This record gives sequence, structure tokens and C-alpha cells, in this order.
Amino acid sequence: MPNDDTLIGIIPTKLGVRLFPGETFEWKSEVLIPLFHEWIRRGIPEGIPIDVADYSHLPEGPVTMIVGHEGDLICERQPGRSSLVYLLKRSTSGETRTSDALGTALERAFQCAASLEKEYPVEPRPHFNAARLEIFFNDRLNAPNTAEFYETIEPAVQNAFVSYPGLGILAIGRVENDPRERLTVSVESVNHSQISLDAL
Amino acid sequence: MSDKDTKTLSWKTHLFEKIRPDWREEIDDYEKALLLRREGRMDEKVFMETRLRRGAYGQRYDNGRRHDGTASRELPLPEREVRKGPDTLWHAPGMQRIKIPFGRLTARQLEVLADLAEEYSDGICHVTTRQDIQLHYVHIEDTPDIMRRLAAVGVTTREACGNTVRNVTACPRAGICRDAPFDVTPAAHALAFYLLGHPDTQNFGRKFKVSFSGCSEHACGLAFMHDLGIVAAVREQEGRIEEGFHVYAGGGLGPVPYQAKLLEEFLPPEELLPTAQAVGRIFARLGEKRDRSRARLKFLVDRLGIDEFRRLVKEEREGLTEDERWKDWSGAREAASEEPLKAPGEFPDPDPNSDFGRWISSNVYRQKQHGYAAVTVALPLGDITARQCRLLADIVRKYTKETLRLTVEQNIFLRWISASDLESLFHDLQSAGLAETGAETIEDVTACPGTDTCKLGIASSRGLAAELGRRLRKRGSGFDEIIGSLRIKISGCFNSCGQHHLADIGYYGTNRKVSGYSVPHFRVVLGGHWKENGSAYGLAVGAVPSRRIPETTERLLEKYRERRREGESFRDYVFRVGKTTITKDLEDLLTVPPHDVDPSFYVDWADAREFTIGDLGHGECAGDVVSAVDFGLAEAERIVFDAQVTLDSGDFRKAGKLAYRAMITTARALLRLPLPDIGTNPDEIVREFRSHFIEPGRFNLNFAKYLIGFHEAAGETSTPEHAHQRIEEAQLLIEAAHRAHQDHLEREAAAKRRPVTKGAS
Repeated sequence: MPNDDTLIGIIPTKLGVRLFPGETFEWKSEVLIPLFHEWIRRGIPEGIPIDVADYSHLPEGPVTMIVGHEGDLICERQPGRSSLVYLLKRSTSGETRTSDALGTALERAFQCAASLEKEYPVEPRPHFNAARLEIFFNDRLNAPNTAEFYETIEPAVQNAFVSYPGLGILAIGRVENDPRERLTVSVESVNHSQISLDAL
Repeated sequence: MSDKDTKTLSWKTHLFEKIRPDWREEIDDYEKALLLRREGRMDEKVFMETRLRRGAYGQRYDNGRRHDGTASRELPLPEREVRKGPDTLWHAPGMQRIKIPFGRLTARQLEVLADLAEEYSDGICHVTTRQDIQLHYVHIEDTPDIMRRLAAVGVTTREACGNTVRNVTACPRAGICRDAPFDVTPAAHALAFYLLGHPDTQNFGRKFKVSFSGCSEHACGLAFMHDLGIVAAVREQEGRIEEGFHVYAGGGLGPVPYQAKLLEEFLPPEELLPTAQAVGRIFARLGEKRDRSRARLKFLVDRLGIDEFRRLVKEEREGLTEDERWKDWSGAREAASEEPLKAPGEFPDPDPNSDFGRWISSNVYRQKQHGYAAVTVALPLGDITARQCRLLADIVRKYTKETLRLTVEQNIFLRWISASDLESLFHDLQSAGLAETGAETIEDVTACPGTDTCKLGIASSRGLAAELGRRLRKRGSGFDEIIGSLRIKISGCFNSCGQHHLADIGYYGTNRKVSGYSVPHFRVVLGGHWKENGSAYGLAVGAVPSRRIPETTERLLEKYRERRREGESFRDYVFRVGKTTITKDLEDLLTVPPHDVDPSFYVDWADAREFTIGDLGHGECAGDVVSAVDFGLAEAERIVFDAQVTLDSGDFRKAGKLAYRAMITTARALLRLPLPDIGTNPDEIVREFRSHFIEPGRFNLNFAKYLIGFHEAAGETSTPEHAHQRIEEAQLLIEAAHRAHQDHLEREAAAKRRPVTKGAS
């Protein structure tokens, strides 16, 4: 197992997990707003959800989101694709390693995605493919978007997926994005092209 | 300190060399104030005003409660006992306002804003109606780093909120406008940075807003709704054209809007800064301090009358000590200068029905400089994503010398575009999702944050604006030019941040009880003058259920189309047909169906919860009035904290010096009572302190001796133990100063209660 103890110095709590609900799927804010208010009543996602913010008037970016104390759940629209992000902003669970923080973010992202699959009240519903996801680090100072830093962080990313054997062997790589963007890592299952959330 | 703390990098260290020293020190001081408040060593009201003066503002639900549609519930935030202001939880999200003088940003600054939006906020930069940027859902502990990252690229958040001089706004067309006699940008720059942190602007009872306009015809500068509205003017003197300013004072919106009055018919440029300073001094001295609802300058001008106010300002100005910045604007001119990147070009002549043609028609302005255009990037509800900010930064670099301006209509204005680049620019903006047409037309609805994030919001101004925008854009080219040019502006409450008084069609949020249920409504205000610097406000008509506002808007436009006379403006039409007729037009739209028939009326736009005003909080807009004494004592407290840290680090001599500075700061704070303009010279401070406090017996002599003794020793310490004692004494002196201040306030209150005897002196 890779050891990421040396990564304690990196702020482990500022990172996000991005899941994809299908090639053609588009979020509908009129559906998400009532659903998310209901989720806040039920304390979903974990980490003190506070309010619903709606940006459906924008052509891209967050459509509708739950803003929370520990993290935000964001249904977003990026050029050509929709996605679901769980962004861990701070930890109150005592994570001291990047892989632990990533584990928390993954768990919450998968939980929310599964709940959306079940509770999204209109067709088409989102169907997430766990065989492909992204991780990004939301801290340009401590987690710069560089190849060198990626090399440092890669073991921690590997480590976080130990709890998900259902994903099989993983291909992990740095996304070649605009250097001004956040360091983003793609994670793909080598064995499967499609993995449902139930299989995790 | 944990491993994590010791091993992570900090922006404080990383950006040390990139921040100008005075700004660096201010932010470090602010961060210390956070620490002191966190430890309960700074009064919460003083801390609130401290953070407001750095632009760190409260946000909805920051009292730790939120109505979830069924009941008001406690948010289970950690450490609920720690507060960042009265009834404001430490861990509750807040808003960071970033003041952008005259709305000018560079490409690099825009990129930094994008990073901040992603790392500390919700990924969105929001452009306000006063050319600021706001980040929402920000944690208070992130604010010092936000400020550092901004300071490193030349942006300060100082005095973005609180009882201070707020962002100095200016017409975004300054320097390129076909109707302005000259560019007001250097004047706006000079005044903004002259008043920033000026000692004479630190003791206001409420906020103070300044704007610049390049002309008298257009609305852009909105001079009449400002505390100080400054309009470019020229006059001919002995065959020479002289530049100067018309100056107006005492305007403001809010629940009771006032039009600013003419203070100076023609003010020469070199008199601008001292006159503004004199206005500030009069406002600080005579403005209301206790009743914040009457504390804006407009009430003072109204009470005194503009003639008396003018007399006082002139008298005050005469007494000011000359400052070289009054006349030397070379720095401001240099900083404010803008040039084109490319040579002038030919304007395209596209098909008016094409996307490009429509965009040219609504979003492009021909500059007075031949062959150049300015382009409005229409931002829906003033929002732009972090990714779009980066793309826009690239666009700005490609077509201009890396600058842009924010507008009070919540858009972005790109200037000095070579006309032959317009098509290419349009396509680049399209790729970034930033080529929306209809800028500054009826489709481009302005709205304050309202119930989305504002503690004072009553109804959802943004939800309504988004809905109206969607419907009006669908109609798009269906409007004729007159209707297309109307403006709709929406505020979430009567405080007018959406500037509804100035719109052709304005709405502000209110609440009505119907059969025991709360129903969101918007009051309709019609015929505001979006011309001539906002020289007239609209007529309030009735309150319409929020759900019926789209229909109301349609009805108002339809009736105007039917009844308007040749060339009649919407304002003239409204005042001609009158309130009675318009109210009758809307009569059937005022009703609310019973809850069981149509519950949608009881839910606000972009929400799903049953409507309530239970989440209304206390506004921080004005801040609490925290006296100069409280501020001074808080500063002394912070210096003592520094002294202790310095002593712990082993530098006892420096620690002693800091303890001495804390004592002098304490004495100076109290001296602000009898001597508001007391300087910073320690000899003078100690002398005056003896005369005003020690000799009349108004300060405990045992503690006063610490100050006197240490002053005689010139703040020198010979051992660490000695320094430690001086630090302890400084702390005791501060405590004694608080007691002396309290005694003073009680004496003052008693004097007010005492009956006045005839003939008594």
C-alpha cells in the first residue's frame, strides 16, 4: 500500500470529487431546488448543510447547490457535460491525511449521487458511472497545478481508493487543463467501462 | 500547533514581498483582531465594525437559525458560543465585499478573483450595483488570506463596508464617452485613495458614498443618489476653457430617497479633495450617531439646509492644513490612464437579425475616439463564474491593454476595442458564454442579493429577476426601441440596493399576511429617471403578489404601448396617467388565491419553502456605531497582544517598545473625546492626557503613573522581566481607560437627563 504520511503537510481538507451522471443528462433547477431543501431538512449531505443556492441563470458552472459548513454539493454544468461535485471545504472529522480527506469526500459524493439516482423525481434521472471520476485540489498554494506536485499527491489518491475494490484496477492521471485551473486528477477503472454505484 | 499547521504554506509568507507594507500591516492587524475576538479578548461590537471596515460582512442565517419551510431550526454549527458580532456565529458563512474603485480591474486581478471565488466562496463573482465584487459563503477565518491575495495584485478591501467612505464609483464610459467634456477617472482615483483610511473619515455615524459622472445627460454616474455626487463640468474664463466639477451633496436611496442638492456650481480640480475632506469632517462632527436610521448625510443636509451646510463646509475647508495631494494628481493620472492595444478599425455592418447583429446593436458603444468601440458583457444577475473570469481575462489581454470596468448595472464593460476586432471578440465571448445580447435594455434586469444571501432581504429579488429576464429574453426582438430601452430594477426590501427608485419599472420586496399566511409581494415603483444622473425618483404604486409580477410587467408595458403619446417617455406617461389609473390597471393582479387553491403564491421564486420572514436578521449595513475611543482601545489591545508575542519570541526590547506604543495608543484613544483631532506625537499625547484626564481626576492615578513613568523612560526596557511588567501595565492601563470611558458616558447621559434651569450657564 502506498504511504502518504509525508503528505500530512498538505491541507487535506480542501478537495473535491466530481462524478458524471451520463453523457446527455442535464440538471433541472426546478427539480433540484425542492429536493435540496428537503435534503437539508434531513441533514443531507453530512457536514452541516446550510442553504440552497441557485445559479441556473448562468450558461455554465453551478446550476443548483447545497452550501454546507464542511462541504458543498454542486450540480454543475460544464461545457459539454453535466456533473456532480462534492467539495470538502474543511474538516471537523479529524482527517490528518489527504487520503482520509479524499475518502470522506468520495464517500459523501457517492452517497449523494446514489440518493439523486433514487430521488430525482423526473425523467430522465441521473445514472452515475463510477468507472470514471475526477478529483481536484482546491488549494493553489499547497496543492499547485503542477506535474511535480501531482507526482507527490498521486500515492494519496491511490490510497483513498483502497476502500473501493469494486472499481478494479485504476488508471490515475493528471488532467491537462489550463494551468490556472485547479490540479485535477482523473480516475478510471481499467477493468470496466461502466460501474453502477450499487456495485461499490 | 499541529503538524499540519507547521507544514502547510501560508499566503502570509508566500506573498510577503508582493504586498505593499502598509497594506500588509493592516491585514496582519486584522488577523490579530480575529484571534483576539476568537479568544474573547475583543468586544464583539468592536470586532464587527473592524471586520466590516475590511469588507467582511454578515450573511443570511448567520445567527445560526434557518427556516426550513416547516419551522425555524438551529443550524448545528460548531462552537456556537463563539461570535463574530452580536448574534452572529463565528462559523456561519459571511460575505466578502471587495471594493473596486470606479469599477476598474485588470486581467490579473480578475484571475485572482476567480481563484478566490473557487477556493473560498461558491465559484461565483457577483458584481454589485456599486461596482464592487462580492463573494458569498465565505468563512471569517479565510478573510485575511483573501485580503492578502487581493492586496498582492493591488486591491484593498479596506472600508468596503461599515461606517466609512464606500467604493468610489464612476461612469464606466469615463474617457471614451461622446457626451463627457473630460475623463473623470483621474479625479475618481485621486479622491478614492485620498479618502481611503483618512483620519477625517473614520468617525462617521453611517456610510458615505461618492460617485463621479462625466456628463449631466446620462444616468451612468447617478450623482443625485449619492452623499457626494461629482459631475464633470467646463466653463469659459477669459477665453480659456476650464475644467471643474458640479458637486452635489446629501442624496441617497433607502426607504426614504433624497435627491442630492447642489453644493458647488463649479469646483476647480484642486479644490475637490479638500472640499470632500471638509464634507467628511462636517459629517463626522454633526451627523447623527445614535439613531442610525437618521444618520446618513442626507438627513444632516436636510436638517441644516444646503446653504448652511455649504457655509459650514467652506468654513471647514478654510481651516484645513494644505496637503500636496490636493493638487498633485500625477500618480492618479498615471494609474488611471488607458490606451488602446490596437489601431482603430472599421465598424462592421452585420445583418441586424443575426446574433452578431443583435449583439452589435445592444451591447456595443461607439467611443468618441474614431474607430474604437466599448462593449458591454451582460452578466445575468451580475454573476460570472470563476472559469468565465479566466476566459474573460484572456479576452481582455487579447483585445485591450488588460483593463475592464464593472458597471452599476452589474455588467462588465470592455473599452478601447478596435472596431475591426468586434466580430472576433463576439465569437470569443460566445465561446465563454459571455455574449448575451440585450445589455442595458429591459431584458437586463438588475437585482440586489435579496433573500438569497442578505440578512435584510424580505423577498427573492434575484429569483424574480431571473424569471423576468428569462421571459423578457424570450420576447427579445418583440419589443420596440422605446420599450426595449426601459430598465427594470429589483430590491429585496425597501433599502433600495437594487436601485428600484431609479428604474422605469422598479420593484421592492415586502410581505403581506393573507388568512394568516405570509405572502411575498413586491411594491411597484414606476417612472424613475434613468437619465441625468438619476435626477428623479419613481412613483410608488401598489404591492403585487410576487407570483404575479411577470404578468404585472406585461400589463404595464401593454398599457404604455396603448396609451403613450408621440415620443412620450415612460416616466412622463406614468405621471400623466397617474397612480389611480395605474392602480386600476393592476387591480385584478393584486388578489391572492387561498392557500389550498394555489399554494404557489405562498412560495417565493427559486425557493421551495413556504414563505416566511422569520429569517430576517439585523442589518450590518451601517454597522453599529463604534466610537473612535472603542476603536483606539481595541487597537491598543492588539498592540499589547503583539508585545506579548514579541516577548515570547525573545525580543524583549521590541516588546517593551510595543507596550509603550500600546500605552500611548490608549491615552490617545481617550483624548479623542475632548480633542477629536489629536495627533500622534507621544509628548503631546502625554501632555494633553495630564491636562484633560489626570489633573481633573478623571483617570485613576495609579494606572496613569504607568504611562507617565514609561514615557519618561522613552519606552526603553532593560530586561525581559522589565518588558513583561510593562506589558502587564499596558493591559491594566487599557482596562482603566475603558472604565474612564464608561464614566465619561455616564456623566454625559446624566447631563442630558438633568433639567435645564433658566439662566443656568
